[in-house]
Amino acid sequence: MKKMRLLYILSAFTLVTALTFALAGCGSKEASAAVGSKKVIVQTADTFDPDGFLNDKGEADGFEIDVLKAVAEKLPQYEFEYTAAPIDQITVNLTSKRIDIAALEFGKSPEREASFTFTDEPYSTLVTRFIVLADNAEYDENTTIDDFQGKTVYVVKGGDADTIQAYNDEHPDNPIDIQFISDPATCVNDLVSGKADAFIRGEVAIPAYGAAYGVKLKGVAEPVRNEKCYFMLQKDADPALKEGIDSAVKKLIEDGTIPALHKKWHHDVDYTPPYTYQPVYNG
Amino acid sequence: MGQIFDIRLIPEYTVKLLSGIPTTLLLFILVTVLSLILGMAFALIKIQNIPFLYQIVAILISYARSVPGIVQLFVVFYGMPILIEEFTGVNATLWDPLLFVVIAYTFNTSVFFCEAMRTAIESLDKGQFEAGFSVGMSYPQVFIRIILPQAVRISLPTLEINACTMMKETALAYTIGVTTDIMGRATILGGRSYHLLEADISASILFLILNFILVIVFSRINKKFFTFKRKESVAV
Repeated sequence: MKKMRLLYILSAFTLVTALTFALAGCGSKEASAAVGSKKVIVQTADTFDPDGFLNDKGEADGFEIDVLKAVAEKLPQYEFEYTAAPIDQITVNLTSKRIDIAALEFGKSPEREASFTFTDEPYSTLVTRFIVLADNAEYDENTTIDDFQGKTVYVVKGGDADTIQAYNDEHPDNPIDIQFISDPATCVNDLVSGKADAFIRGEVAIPAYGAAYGVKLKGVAEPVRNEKCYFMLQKDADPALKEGIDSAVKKLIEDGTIPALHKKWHHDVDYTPPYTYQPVYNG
Repeated sequence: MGQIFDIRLIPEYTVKLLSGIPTTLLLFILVTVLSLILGMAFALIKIQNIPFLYQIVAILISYARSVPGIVQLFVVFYGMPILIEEFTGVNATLWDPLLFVVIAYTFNTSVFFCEAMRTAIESLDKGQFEAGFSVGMSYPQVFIRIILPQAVRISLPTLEINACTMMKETALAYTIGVTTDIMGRATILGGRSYHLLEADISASILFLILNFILVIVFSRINKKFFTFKRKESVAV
């Protein structure tokens, strides 16, 4: 009787294990194709339009993908595969070696450089601005960061917030009131209702949000961040891949491909470094 | 020109999100079936008090009960490939994220199914086993023909609650890169158009409908079992 009980339990376990491995087998086909070949998996964001997003066909698309497709044409020895993931997951996936290249306007920082390998040739510029309503006469081409002292400004945690916090640390008597709010609809809504005086976002958001919400916006003051952008590779990335990308990016800038892609995706603005910002950007 | 909150987008998005239902249902069905099998195995280990396996199951139950679902998902998604590579040499990092979602949710849900079935089986009179053995039935025969039907009936309400919870939890699959289910599609649709709230409302409408259907299915099964019970009690 006891043997029968054990047999029953073992049968159940065998079934579960078999099902698990059957499922695992489905996934491993993909993995085996990648092993041993010069496949390079690129990842950008899935919702960061226009730089990286999943299009209606479910394919990775946007400025970053177009640049890397142009790079891939110059590197026939590699087979590029383009993927997209939630923004928070991209660097985690690069750390866990699920992907080979992270492409989403990444600027260099000591923390990132300690964990990843950056390409040497910048292909874009990340420009974040104080964004206010276009008809707000209080802010114009003479506006500086000092004009936001005591004002409520919505920021996304990370680079911009760190910069503003550093400014506040230098001006403890009258700091900028930082609120960590990232949702675009809330930022624009609170700008219209007067709950917020400004929010900080990339310049490319100005025309995009304007079209989505029917509100005219403008970017003012000196950019909060004006960083050169590079592709990010695994820490122990193949040096030949890095050199290949750098060489391709250099040629693509020289032949006008990357500047043309900037204008195509970024409302006719060329963010190829060096980028000169306008005192007031109306999108 | 658009609006900050555009209510007209909700029906449009709801229709677009219908394409996410197959993945959500696939996840739900796979996890439910696997969890029932694994949950039953866990329940038998606990009931039979099998040394070593009992202790392992007890630890697993504590873990699944105490650790948030999203953390369990991350641990499986990022931890399992390291373990697989360590022990088998197979590179699992590129496996479909859907597989890791199925594994993480199966593990989590089976623990709750286990407890529902264990308590149901233990609530039955031990005399029923003895009665079965006395007429020459083997342990599996007694278990499958006599104990299991009653245990399922008793545990059905708890299984229903856990299944409904699991259906909602499938929304977390997006956090590890599954983009073809309802929530994945909603996040992409809303994120790209900057109308995330409208997309979330559309997703909530679909989840409401799916869970409503699930409740009806369980209610039908429940009714069938209870009808059986009433007939039995009338006959007595």
